[in-house]
Amino acid sequence: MTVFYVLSKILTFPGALTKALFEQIMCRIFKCPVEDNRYLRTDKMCGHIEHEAINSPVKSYLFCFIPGLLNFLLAFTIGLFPLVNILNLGNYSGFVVFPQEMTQTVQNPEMLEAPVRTLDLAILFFFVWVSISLLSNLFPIIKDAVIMKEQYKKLPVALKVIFYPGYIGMQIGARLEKFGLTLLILIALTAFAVIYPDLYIPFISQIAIIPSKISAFVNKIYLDITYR
Amino acid sequence: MDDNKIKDIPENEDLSESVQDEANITEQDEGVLITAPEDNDIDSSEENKEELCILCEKNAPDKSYGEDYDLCTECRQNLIRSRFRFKGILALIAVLGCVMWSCTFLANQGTSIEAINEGYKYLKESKLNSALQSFGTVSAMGWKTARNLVDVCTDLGSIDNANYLLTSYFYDENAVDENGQPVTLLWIEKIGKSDINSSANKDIKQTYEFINRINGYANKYSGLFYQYYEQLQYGVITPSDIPYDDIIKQYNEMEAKAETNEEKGVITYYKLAISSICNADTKIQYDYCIKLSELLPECKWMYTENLVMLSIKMGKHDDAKALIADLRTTNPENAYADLYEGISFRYQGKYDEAMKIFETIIADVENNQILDIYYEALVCQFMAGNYEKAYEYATLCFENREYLTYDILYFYAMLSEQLGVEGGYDAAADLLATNNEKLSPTVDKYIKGEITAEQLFKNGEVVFE
Repeated sequence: MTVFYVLSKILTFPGALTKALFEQIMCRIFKCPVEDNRYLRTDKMCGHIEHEAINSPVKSYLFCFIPGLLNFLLAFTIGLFPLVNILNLGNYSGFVVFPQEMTQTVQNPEMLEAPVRTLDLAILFFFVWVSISLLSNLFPIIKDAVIMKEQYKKLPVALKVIFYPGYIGMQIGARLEKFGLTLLILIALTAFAVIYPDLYIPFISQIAIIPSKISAFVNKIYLDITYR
Repeated sequence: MDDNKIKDIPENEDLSESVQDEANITEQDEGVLITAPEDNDIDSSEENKEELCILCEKNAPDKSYGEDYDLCTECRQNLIRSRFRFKGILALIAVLGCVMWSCTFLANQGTSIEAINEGYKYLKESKLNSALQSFGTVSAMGWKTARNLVDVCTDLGSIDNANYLLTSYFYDENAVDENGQPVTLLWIEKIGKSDINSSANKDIKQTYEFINRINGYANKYSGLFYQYYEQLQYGVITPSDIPYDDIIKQYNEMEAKAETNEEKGVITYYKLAISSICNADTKIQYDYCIKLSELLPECKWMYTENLVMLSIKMGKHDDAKALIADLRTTNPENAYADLYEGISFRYQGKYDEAMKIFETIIADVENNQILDIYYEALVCQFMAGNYEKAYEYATLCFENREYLTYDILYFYAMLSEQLGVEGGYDAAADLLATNNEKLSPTVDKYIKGEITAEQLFKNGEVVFE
């Protein structure tokens, strides 16, 4: 099983690296000594760092939760672009634009079309891969999950209720990730998303316009300041 | 290690393995920060080892973290401050770069996404014109959007646009050339396009095949028509120069050889077109239109609007009303349906009702882009005897050249004289003179009282010489 686990981590190395980095940052914030900071290795610690056990219930929970959350947010932001373009717009072009000076030197503009279209397609699928790689590295290693399980019992009831969904999710996720199953599940979910886009596209397309709204807002502020 | 903390953890196979791994870490691993003490050291100085930090072997372990804690404060701090790996930072920078790129593109595509969402909303409400307008503003259009747009264009009868969309965003894996040999498409040609034969495109495949067939017939039979139509457009000939009877005869011969109804329908379409530009008798045009509707019943865009106008001219206002209702069924916001309804009222002499409709269309002219509406309103007011109102429309068109036609200019000249407005007639004549043209003799006849207002019209249509 370690082979599948390590293989899944290598296939999704951008996510594995960022997850391990976030874990190390969390260790530094929580002042927890890091015993081994190799991010990619060929054993069960691949994609994670080895650290002293965290003795605080809240810190133990946050240590497992925050790196995964950050990976998820990055994955969502990156994944939104190909998701909207492929499944909502069905658009595969217009991402690569050569400088005007370069296009003017080409006598026949159609000569540029094939490489540009290839690059456009490559960018879309690169983003899909990066997004999947981040999403398949959301959960803590089983060792941290076990420590969190013990520490969770010491939490006040109110925090237990608040943390419960994340706690359950991480416990299940950690066990799935142990066998390298998160990647397979994610691929299956992606296939499902491709087959049934109408289930989520209305929601996704509403989120996808947020960067445009932010851009318009920033632009307005900039113009206000410039022409005041 | 902090055994006090570890002992809280239940016995677990993974954990024990992990602890075992810890002990096996060797110096050859580049990133190892803890190195296991050699066996010899353990054997030789067991008593001292308990007192010293397992890393530096100089300081005493910090027992504030537990009695069995084996790191000194300094080593512990070093481990907390262990440096981040370069490849991790590199990966994070790359991922953040992707995030920036993604956000930038989404910010650029925001208006497209909004327009598409709006387009779909209009489609659900069957507001085809609004949907077409929304989709038309989409810059990042893909085949998914195009697929919906093909349906809209087909329903609106905008077959040229539908054809453009089909060729731009779709490909036919089963396409064959003129010799019946399969057309080989490179994979690069398929990027961003969808196979018309896929199940997702089954709705538009029928349109694709139909347009291909119609295009084939049109290429075959349009030559005779366009040979004269283009000359007419460039002013080389006038309708009277067109050998109408000869053309109709040739088309009849072609029709006799045609095998399918579609082929006959296309020929009839050109017969209708040539009879229309040659101002053939309304009855003849009406018959062609009826025949076309029988040969190609599904192609309502080819005949419905023509048939409405011809029905109105033939005085078949109930038929026209039914056809207008049909237009509204396809597209509830079809402003042309309103226009035809108004024209129908005008032909029936119900000028007040007609004007109500025309004024509604004029109020939204920026949206519906029916510029002919000013002419219709002008004629309606003129026929109703409201010359001042008619003059207002004529002036508006004269001042805004976008709406101006020859007929409106003639009305402007006539009404200026009739209402005693100085300079109106001359201004109209001057405008035509810039193009080496003159006002129609009918204008002068009307001004001199040689013909009456009623005599300006024939079957509800204005007739200027």
